[in-house]
Amino acid sequence: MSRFVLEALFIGAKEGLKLFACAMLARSVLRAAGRGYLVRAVAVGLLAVFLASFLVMRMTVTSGTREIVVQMVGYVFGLFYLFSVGALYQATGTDLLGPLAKLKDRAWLLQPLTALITVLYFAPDMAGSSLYVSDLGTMAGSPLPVLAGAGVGFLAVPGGAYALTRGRDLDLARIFGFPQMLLALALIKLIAGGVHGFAELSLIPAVQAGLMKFVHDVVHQLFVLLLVPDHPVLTTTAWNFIGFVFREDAGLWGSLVILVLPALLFIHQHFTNPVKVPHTITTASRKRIFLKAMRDERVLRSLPVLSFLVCILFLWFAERGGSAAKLFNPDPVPITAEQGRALIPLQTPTEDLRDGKIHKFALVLEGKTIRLLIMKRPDGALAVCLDACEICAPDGYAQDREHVVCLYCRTPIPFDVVGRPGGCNPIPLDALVTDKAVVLDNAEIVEKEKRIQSATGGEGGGR
Amino acid sequence: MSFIVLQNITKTYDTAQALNGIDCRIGSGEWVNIMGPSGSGKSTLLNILGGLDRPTSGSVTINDTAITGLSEDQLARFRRETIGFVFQQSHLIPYLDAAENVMLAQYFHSIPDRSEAEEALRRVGLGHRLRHRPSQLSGGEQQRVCIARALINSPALLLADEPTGNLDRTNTRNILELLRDLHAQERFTVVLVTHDPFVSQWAHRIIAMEDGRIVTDEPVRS
Repeated sequence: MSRFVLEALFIGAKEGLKLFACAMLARSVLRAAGRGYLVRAVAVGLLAVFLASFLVMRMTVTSGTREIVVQMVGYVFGLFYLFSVGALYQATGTDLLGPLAKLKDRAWLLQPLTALITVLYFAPDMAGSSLYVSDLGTMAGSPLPVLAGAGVGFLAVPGGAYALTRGRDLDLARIFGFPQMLLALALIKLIAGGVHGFAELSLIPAVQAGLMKFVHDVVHQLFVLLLVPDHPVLTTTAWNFIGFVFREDAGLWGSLVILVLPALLFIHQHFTNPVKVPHTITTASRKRIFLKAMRDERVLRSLPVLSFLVCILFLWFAERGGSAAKLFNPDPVPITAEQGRALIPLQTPTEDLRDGKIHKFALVLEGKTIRLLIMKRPDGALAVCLDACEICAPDGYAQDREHVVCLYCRTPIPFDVVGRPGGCNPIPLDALVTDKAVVLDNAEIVEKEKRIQSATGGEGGGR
Repeated sequence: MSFIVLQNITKTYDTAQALNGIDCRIGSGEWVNIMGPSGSGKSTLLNILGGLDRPTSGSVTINDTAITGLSEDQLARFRRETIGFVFQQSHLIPYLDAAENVMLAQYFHSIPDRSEAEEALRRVGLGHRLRHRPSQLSGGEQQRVCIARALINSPALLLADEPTGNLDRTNTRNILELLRDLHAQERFTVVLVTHDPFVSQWAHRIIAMEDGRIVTDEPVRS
């Protein structure tokens, strides 16, 4: 099975599962809230989106439209998240709806609105995924990926119909009230809202970037209001501290706070609100009612919110760690030097220096451990370098597909210019490459290793 | 009339002499490349020219301002208003798009203006990449954003330290052609540090350094 077909199958299954889970959740919550008549509106919305997604597969779409679709996925997540925060706040006893509360019982309005919200929730994901599956078909030069994705997607029709009509009621409404359902829908979109196949399963990186930009913009606007940088009080020394606000870490933490703070406030409010128990009944009955209220209203209804918090906290840093983990950074293989030379075989049972990956070695000379980096350039020649440059801290380099990336300053260097002298580039060594081994001169290694020191405060190159 | 005047510049790090009596004049609108082996003092000299570092002794005058006599705040203001920097590393903010990254330079200078930033990106051939984030741009495109960012405030002096250090030959040529065109239009002064002999040939004049001294200073024959 080709990679394209596999990816299309995955996308179809992912979208189908999302549809099934959301339909099941909506049915339980709506029926428990006495609004079972809205389930039909959900079904209509789902069907409309489902049919439209097949049409999208056959459309020719500009890159601008694609960009809008991708952005819509993020905006819809944000919208559902904000809705859920509002609904959670409302559930703690504060009336946010005001005069709009009267509209809650107008079936003629709620039915089309529910169908519209269903379309809004699913349309960007389905459109984005359909376009991606269509691209897979183009790349594969065969209709198989499209057929595979659409085929698996079709399974969602009976699945969704079963969930909305005769599906076994899991009594999800014990845990999910209306606000919790909105939060769960936002979380599902966050975890599985990516529309670029294997390359982007979740929306976390996009939401992180969006929120970090938001934090950045807020700080900027504030400074513009203060007339920074021309403010007479904010001198260069102050700027050194202000710089911390613009660090990537500050944005990451700030965005995390934005996302989890409303949920934390809800939990706090939810657990500190007094439980209302009628005083006209016996003490024993009051205790039973009190316990039930505690369990149902506080603990069970808090579970989805707590789950949301746990998921966000985990994913926020897992995704960030994931991007760093994509880099290939092998452990250096220890080698020894004899008679002023170090010999590294071109091929061993476990390693081939010409396999297109970076290879690292560690050599102890004059009491110092020196890392070496060897890799094949596109022109077929081996680049033999120190695993450090002249201007950065000596953190070394890792591989990201056709680049090596400086682990200190993150500069990507294409394979064909690795070992070029100057700047952030592994320091080249004049190695002799025979048909069996790379031969290195110890004296040259020791001499060039001195250039690495500049970034750590000593003398050296880059000056 | 010289735009940059360096008089007897020395720079010492602990016991190492990075610059040793540099005397040099660079005219307004000139493009000068500085070459030399690793450790010859090229980048130190560029950092001193840009007010990022101070010499141990000697004086630096740029556009009739003796920057060696300026306070830190005055120097920061001078840098913002007179100098544009391009480094090998793009230092672009990953979650801001290309136009917003260019606007950052405007913000630190005076007032951000998106339309100006977009126009600057169009001039460097990135009109179709205005809303792309750095991760969605190639190395050459990222360096174009850096050039747009460096030139958005119309600096009188552009300082570039290995600006093509991590670009392949095609992208190197593209970037140099772009710089040449912009330089011809706006006549700012360029001081560029490079190891690459191919890059050095694009200048009006090449200064070669070794062990903290200028060893040759010659015009490029076109």
